[in-house]
Amino acid sequence: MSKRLRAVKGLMYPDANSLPIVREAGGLSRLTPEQRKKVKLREISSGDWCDDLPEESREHLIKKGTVVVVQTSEVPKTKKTRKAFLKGSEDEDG
Amino acid sequence: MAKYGPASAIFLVDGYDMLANKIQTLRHKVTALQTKSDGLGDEWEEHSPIGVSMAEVVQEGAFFDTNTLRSHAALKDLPSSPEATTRVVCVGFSGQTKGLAFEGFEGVYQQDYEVLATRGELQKVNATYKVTGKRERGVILQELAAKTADWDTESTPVDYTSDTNQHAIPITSSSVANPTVITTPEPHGLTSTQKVLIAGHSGSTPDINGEYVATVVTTTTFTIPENVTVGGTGGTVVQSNSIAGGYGFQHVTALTDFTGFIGTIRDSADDIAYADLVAFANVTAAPAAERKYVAGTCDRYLSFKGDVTGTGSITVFCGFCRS
Repeated sequence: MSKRLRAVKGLMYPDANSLPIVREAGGLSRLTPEQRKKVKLREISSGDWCDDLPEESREHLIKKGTVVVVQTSEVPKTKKTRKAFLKGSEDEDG
Repeated sequence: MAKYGPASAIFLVDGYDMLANKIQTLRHKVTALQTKSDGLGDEWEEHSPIGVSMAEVVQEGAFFDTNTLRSHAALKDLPSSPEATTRVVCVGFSGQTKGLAFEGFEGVYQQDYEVLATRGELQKVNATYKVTGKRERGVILQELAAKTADWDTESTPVDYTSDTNQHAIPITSSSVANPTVITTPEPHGLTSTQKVLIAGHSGSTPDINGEYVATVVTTTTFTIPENVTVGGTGGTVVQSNSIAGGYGFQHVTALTDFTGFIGTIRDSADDIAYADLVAFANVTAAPAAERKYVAGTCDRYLSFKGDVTGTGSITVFCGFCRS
């Protein structure tokens, strides 16, 4: 059993490859038009997994109840989310 | 100085664009209603408040056209009795731009439409609109505009720390303490756990300009989790989130060929991850309007997302009022 993140409400955030660009700019609204073209945003529906949610947003969204931590044996299907999921599991296991 | 004209104003009632084509005066006022309470033997007339307010919006000497979806169409569909359905009303004076102020109402609606002169499809009118219901002040998230595909405003969100409805509280000082105590010369109006943004504060070590979670001590003091070894002075503090919920307002003034439209207000604490805050009901025909309440914390950045079904065109306005 591992812990995974599930969205309670719809979410939108940059994917793992785009996150460094958004961080460098200081937020989505500060992206230049050139940076904006390189950024891909993920749309998450209520009830979907969101294991690749940016680290800086996790604590706040969990505290607010927008995202919940779920104990599950279900493993993510895509490589990127699997990687983020396994990394998260290692961190939790210490 | 900016020039304001008819294009700066917003006046939407249940999805109808009520603004005159040429406007001379647009004003609104809120009245706290009273009831007559003097009795036999009283020498003077007395009135007592009944805890109800009424909003009134007036367009004086305005020129209207009588085409469809303008004021005449709205008049035609007006409820005929006080028990009829409430109306969703949005009024703005400062401009049709994201982040600018508007006022939202929902209540039973009365309209007086006094025709002064008529020529063809043009009428000169004194029009008065009364709403008995609560008024909220908010900001425009999506100015009234036509769209032909899905869109969102995450690239131009509305930042609560720049909200003109919000008063920046001056800071007297930051104390040498851990956590440091911030003193203000006037009541700060904060609530513990609320986020604040400090700007322009000088002299402190470390620099405390930035965003923090506040813990209220008194009406004019609060702490932030910072170990200050040299106190500072000056600057301002503003709220960077609100914790008492709010009301979303959406008007759809035109819809052609799309088979559905769902508008969603989103919020974000960090301008990186946005979450759904208010999802309006699916709209399949115009005119349409909705006012929707959301409880709890509303984060610093607000944006609007429009999802359309099919192909066509839609004209939408959206705003949000923090409680």
